[in-house]
Amino acid sequence: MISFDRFQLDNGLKVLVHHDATTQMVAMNILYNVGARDEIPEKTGFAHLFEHLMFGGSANIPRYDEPLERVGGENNAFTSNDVTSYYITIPKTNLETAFWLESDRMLNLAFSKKSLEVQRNVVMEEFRQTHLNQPFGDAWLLLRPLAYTVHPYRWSTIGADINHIAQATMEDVKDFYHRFYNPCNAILTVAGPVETAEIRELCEKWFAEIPAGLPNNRRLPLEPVQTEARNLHVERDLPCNAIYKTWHIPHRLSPMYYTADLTSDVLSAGESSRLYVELVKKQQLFSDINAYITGSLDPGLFVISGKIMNGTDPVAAENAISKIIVELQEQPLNERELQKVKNRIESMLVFAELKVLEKALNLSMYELLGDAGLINNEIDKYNAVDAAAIMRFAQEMLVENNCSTLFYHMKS
Amino acid sequence: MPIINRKKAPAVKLVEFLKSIEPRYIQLSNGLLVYLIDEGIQEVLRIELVFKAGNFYQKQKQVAKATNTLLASGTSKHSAEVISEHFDFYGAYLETSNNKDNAHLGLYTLNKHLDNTLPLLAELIMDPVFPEHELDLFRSTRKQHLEVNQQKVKYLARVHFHEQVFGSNHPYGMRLQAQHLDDLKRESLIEHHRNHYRAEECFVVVSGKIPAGFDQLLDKYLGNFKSNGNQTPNGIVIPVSPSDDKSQFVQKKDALQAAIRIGKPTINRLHPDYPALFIVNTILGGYFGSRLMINIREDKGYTYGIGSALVSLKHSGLFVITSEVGSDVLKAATDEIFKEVRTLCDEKVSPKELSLVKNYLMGSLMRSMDGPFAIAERLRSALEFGQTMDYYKDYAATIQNITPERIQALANEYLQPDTFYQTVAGNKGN
Repeated sequence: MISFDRFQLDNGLKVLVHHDATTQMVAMNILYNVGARDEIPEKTGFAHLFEHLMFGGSANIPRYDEPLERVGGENNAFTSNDVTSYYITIPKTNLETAFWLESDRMLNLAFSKKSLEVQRNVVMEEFRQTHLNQPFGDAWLLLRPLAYTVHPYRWSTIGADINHIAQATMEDVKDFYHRFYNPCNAILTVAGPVETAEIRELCEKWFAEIPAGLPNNRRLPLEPVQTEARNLHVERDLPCNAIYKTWHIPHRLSPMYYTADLTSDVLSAGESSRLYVELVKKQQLFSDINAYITGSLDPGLFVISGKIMNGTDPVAAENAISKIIVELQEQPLNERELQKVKNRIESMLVFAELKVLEKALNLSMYELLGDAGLINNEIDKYNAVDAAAIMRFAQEMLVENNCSTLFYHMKS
Repeated sequence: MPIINRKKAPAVKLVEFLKSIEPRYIQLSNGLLVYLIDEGIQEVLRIELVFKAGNFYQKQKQVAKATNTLLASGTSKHSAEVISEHFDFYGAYLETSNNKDNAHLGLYTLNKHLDNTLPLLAELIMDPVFPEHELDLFRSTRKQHLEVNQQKVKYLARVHFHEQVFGSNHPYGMRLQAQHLDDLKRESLIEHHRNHYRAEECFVVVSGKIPAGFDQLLDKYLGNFKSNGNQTPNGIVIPVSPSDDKSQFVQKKDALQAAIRIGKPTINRLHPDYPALFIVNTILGGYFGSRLMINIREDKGYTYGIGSALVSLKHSGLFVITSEVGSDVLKAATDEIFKEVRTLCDEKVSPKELSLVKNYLMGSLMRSMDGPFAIAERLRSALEFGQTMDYYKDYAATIQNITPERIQALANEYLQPDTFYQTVAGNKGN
């Protein structure tokens, strides 16, 4: 159970406070309601590039990291297709520095030509390092446009094409900042040995004067129902073949989301999971195989991906996956297996409460979903899923015409 | 509302290392030492066993890794399937890891399931049988992982660099090859287990919210983990024998980036200079605001990331700078790296930079002790070197007292650029 207080400033900034007296560190998170799904198809990778630029200094503070490090703090950020999240951990005694830094870059970012040039290069190196210069690194650059035809999930957070980053202009940067980086589009969470009254005071002092801006009322195209299987075969200089299969699943707040998550655990959480036991251990068709859901806020994907053992026919490997899915569709889980995956979820939720930073990030995210209090009902939603629901999910969703498959073939 | 001066930073308060953490320790009936960190409010525990059973002690390559990984792959009473299902069912996680010196086996469990998870953990360390078919599977999956890794410049640079600075015959320099996996024998695993997974060669660190009666419960399951009475064979200490080649290139065609490793064998944390050298390393490349990061990433944009590290090993140490850079800027980036090291040797660090680093390190130390599992990590690293939590008090004092003069002297003593070795993995092109 994670308790919290909530208040809102006149400019729309939502603030959550979680009191945890067991630590000397405070975690502060600002979640901006903007991600790669807010980009236009010709300028992808922008939300993430912008995340880098947020560290280039603000109007009153020339360097972001240095003053924070000077008071014993540390920070980072991440961008996803849904959101951009900035976080700090800092000793309690110097908490105000975090408010000073974060409010200044929300109020007025410094737009330097040099920072844009350098971060463009840094992000292009990141693109190469993580997506192009790694075996299977481009999997999601290929999979997203295969699975999504109109929804902006069809490009990766890093961008659809490295050239989009190379071409980003100062005008693009400023426009993006003014549209999205506003109090009414942000959630601030502070967790640690703090009292709500002191956080309220700090918020009023540092954030209240920032103009509200306009909320991000996105109207994204709905991905049409997929009606036939899609396949993509690519050939690469690789040491083994691989397969990635995706199926569309409902959005984050749908009850079926929890069913999908538990089903992916049945298939691949732990060494007693079905895919591991059957395909890695018994039949030895894969050297590794995973099932998971993308966890996105708009309708997401259920994924099974694996590296095929050399000497194994890729078609046989794919058929073996299909057979395991058919079992899900035809036979209900027994009680013990269902209980097992629920126990694992319970355990994960408890372990996620050990660190203030993780608690702060989760509270912000649930607040974005509508109510930070949802965090405390998660286990009930998982527990409400029964064997029949998993069977129904497999029958309705894990079907051929809802599936997109990417094959990597090694060059002969 | 009062108008605030945003140009002025809020008052900086000195970060002090307030909390002193002293573990409680108990000795089980068989003499096994257990350290307990009773912290936190969640009803969870991490139980970690540390054995002197890493690469350093193995008679043959990959034996240490295989032995540790396959502990959970079957006992005389339970198959691998039963074991993994059992832990999964109780939402518990088993973690095996090896470093060059030690082997770790950790269990993360909810306290309410301790009666179910602890007995099986004990069974794994006392009674593994290493079934032949599980070893086969280990061999084939590891071989395929190795092939995938060999496509990564980062992996290639790392393993070739270790071989370069420690020597191909040194336990720290060993580079895994498919042949080593083929040569693995079940008997070698059994022997490695018999020789090195013993109560007197082990310690345990337990962290989390320790439930009432835990000591007795632990003694019940781990207290009869007996030695066979033989003398434990020690690893043979052989001197590191770096390559004659100071600089090597590992060709990987079509690579878009080059992975760089630059560094040398150096002192470990048993040496009195180590805590201070750690601070020197931080200035150079040990944090986001470090000189390497500011120059090569934030000013030049040559890389997504660059850093340097001090790796402490039982019988040696390693200083290493790591980065992946665009192939076209390899030369420029390397020149800048050496320039930064030379500056560190030639010039005194400014009081402003030093005070920043001191505060950053104090915050970092505090962060590294935040929460029961984090404290356990700190304690474990100290115990692995025969040290106590006092090490961190001394380290904190070193941070407070270090001077620009000492930093420059240490840089000159340990980090002379002409003593460095260099490995690059990438595409040399034309």
